[in-house]
Amino acid sequence: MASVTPLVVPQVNVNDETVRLARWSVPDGATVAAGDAVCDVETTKAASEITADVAGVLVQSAIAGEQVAVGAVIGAIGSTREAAAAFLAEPVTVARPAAGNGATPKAAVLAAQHGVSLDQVRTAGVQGTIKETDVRRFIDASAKALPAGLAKYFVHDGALPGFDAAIAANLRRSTQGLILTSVDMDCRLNAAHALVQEAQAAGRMLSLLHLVIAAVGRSLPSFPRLTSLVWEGSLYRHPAMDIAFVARSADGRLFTPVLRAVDQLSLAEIAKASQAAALRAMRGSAKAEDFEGAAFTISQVPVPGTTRVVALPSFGQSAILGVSSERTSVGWVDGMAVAQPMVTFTLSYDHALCDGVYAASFLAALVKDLESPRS
Amino acid sequence: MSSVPERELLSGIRACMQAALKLSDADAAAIGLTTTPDQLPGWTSQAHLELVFALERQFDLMFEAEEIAELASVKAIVGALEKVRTP
Repeated sequence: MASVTPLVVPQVNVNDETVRLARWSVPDGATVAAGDAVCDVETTKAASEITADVAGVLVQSAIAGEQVAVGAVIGAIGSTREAAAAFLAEPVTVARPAAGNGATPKAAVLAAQHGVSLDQVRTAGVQGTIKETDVRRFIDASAKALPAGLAKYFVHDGALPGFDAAIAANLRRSTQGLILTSVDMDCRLNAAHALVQEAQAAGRMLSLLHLVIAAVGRSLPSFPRLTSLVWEGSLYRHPAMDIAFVARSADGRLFTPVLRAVDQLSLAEIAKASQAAALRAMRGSAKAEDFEGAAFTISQVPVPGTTRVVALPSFGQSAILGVSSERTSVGWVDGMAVAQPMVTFTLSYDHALCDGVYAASFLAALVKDLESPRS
Repeated sequence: MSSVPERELLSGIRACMQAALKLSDADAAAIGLTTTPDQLPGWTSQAHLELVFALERQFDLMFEAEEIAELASVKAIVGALEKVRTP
């Protein structure tokens, strides 16, 4: 039978309720031995290494750089990768030691995972010990406590899976500090299509995404406010063109691998590196640093009919480019109506750093570049 | 005329491509050595990654991540598979 042991955030300092997951020491999906260091967490005062309690396959459910609650489950070590992943997908993920509060470890862990204070939980068992079933009952009861107008229409469907929760936490943390707004611009793809077709006919996988990454790498250095951050009233700028892009695994998970110094890569190098990075992310063989430190992100939603993609910047970034699906529109060339392949770019950006004219000027530069792409 | 091992490879590749690129039976049957992504609208960069996954499962091997951009033709896929399968 497959066994799974949760990876739980320890209490580094007595007064800290959260810690920062500084880095993963091993990649998602790695096989670890008992005692192996798997990640580092830190507070403002201390840092700590988390080691594996057991041997097995580690599946991560939190992202490096995230602030995570003490007691939260940030991954699981299973006898198989599938077992660990299935465990994390279940609402019953574990955490926080009971610390003498009259609860079993499993109950304490479940309570911590759901942000439940054990003081609120009534016991059904003997000697007043709070068990996992007590916490589960409390969570179910709490979940039903939707506003009266909603409760009768909904059923409790469990907790948000860990991977989704980690992404949500990242975006919530990011967007809390930004004054987000967006601007759109259309781009004709005749020239881009010609390049893509030429490469594909020659047996090289090239796509619009690769062309967009390359064009962003060329255009972005002239717009430093889009790779800057406001932090506690100070301005910080990311000087390197380290560009992330959104990749999707076959089971629907989103990843944002980072390509370094994109402005110094050829189009062929970008195509090769981005596909290799996406494949490593999908295989679970990427390292934590492969997802860290991007200056800017590109999110393409190629679902036919998608006309506008308003994306949210990741934590540590202030702008993100949404790329719509491709469509055919009628345009005018030399007084003649002609069908043209088009795409719409949507730049979401922090209005604390730049205004609409600045943002639109970046899009104009990007469109100009893409409408006359170079190989 | 293709050899028996090559025909077997092609058959496996067709099955993988049909699943990853969501092709009809007719489109899958039309796949040949000279097929490239520009001939199949479903052969997008995302579908290409899923195709690589499917090929790895079908033939029980793992490609070098850096080489997958070059696997954008059936001929290249056959070549890569033969290279890996040859001791």
